[in-house]
Amino acid sequence: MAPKNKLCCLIHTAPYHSSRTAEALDFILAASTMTEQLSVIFINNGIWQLLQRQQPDHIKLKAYTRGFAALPEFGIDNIYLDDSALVQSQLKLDDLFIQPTVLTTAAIQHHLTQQDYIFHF
Amino acid sequence: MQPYHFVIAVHGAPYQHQGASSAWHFANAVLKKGHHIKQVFFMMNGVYHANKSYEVPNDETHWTREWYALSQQYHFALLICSTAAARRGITADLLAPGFQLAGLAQYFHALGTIDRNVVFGN
Repeated sequence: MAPKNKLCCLIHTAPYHSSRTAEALDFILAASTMTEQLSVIFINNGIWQLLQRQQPDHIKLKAYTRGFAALPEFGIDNIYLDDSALVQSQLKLDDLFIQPTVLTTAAIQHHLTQQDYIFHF
Repeated sequence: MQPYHFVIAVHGAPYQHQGASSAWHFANAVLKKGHHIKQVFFMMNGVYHANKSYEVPNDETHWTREWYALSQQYHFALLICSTAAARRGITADLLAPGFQLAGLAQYFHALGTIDRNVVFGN
């Protein structure tokens, strides 16, 4: 069997609603130790994870989203953003604390067909 | 048709999320059809399945015991993400029979060897 190591993590929810995306970051870091073919894609409301100047300590929550800025230090460079998330949210790349590569929805769909496993958070 | 080898991931807690029960029904169905489950990995809120202290009324399904029975009958591991468990106070002494603490590395390692990963309880 060919190695099944193309993993893609889709982040489609906004932060702080639950601990799910905080734990997703742990999941992504663990996945990065197992494969070099890991990609992370922000779609739909996932774009809000990347908004600058978050201050969740004001509501006693940890600013875990800063971890997304550290992904390249763990060798995770394939970080993408759906351009329709920019349109829907009316945000600009400058509003975000990282600048992922922006892809069209069609390009993301194609990328997904190439994956062995897809996880969504 | 060749039997498939599955890993089932459960992200939802029992009694809190329908995905938790769907996971059991799916596992049961594929096993009855002759497929194989290598491992069921409970993560995020799914780790609550391993809590041996659930007081479940007699007229309700005891999901922890159902998973244990299935895993004994069909010989697959019931693994709990140790990081998620620690966050939720599911310590080693609280683990129900059949459930083991494990790292995500074991989950990803299993993914490399099976046909399908099905995730429930998002």
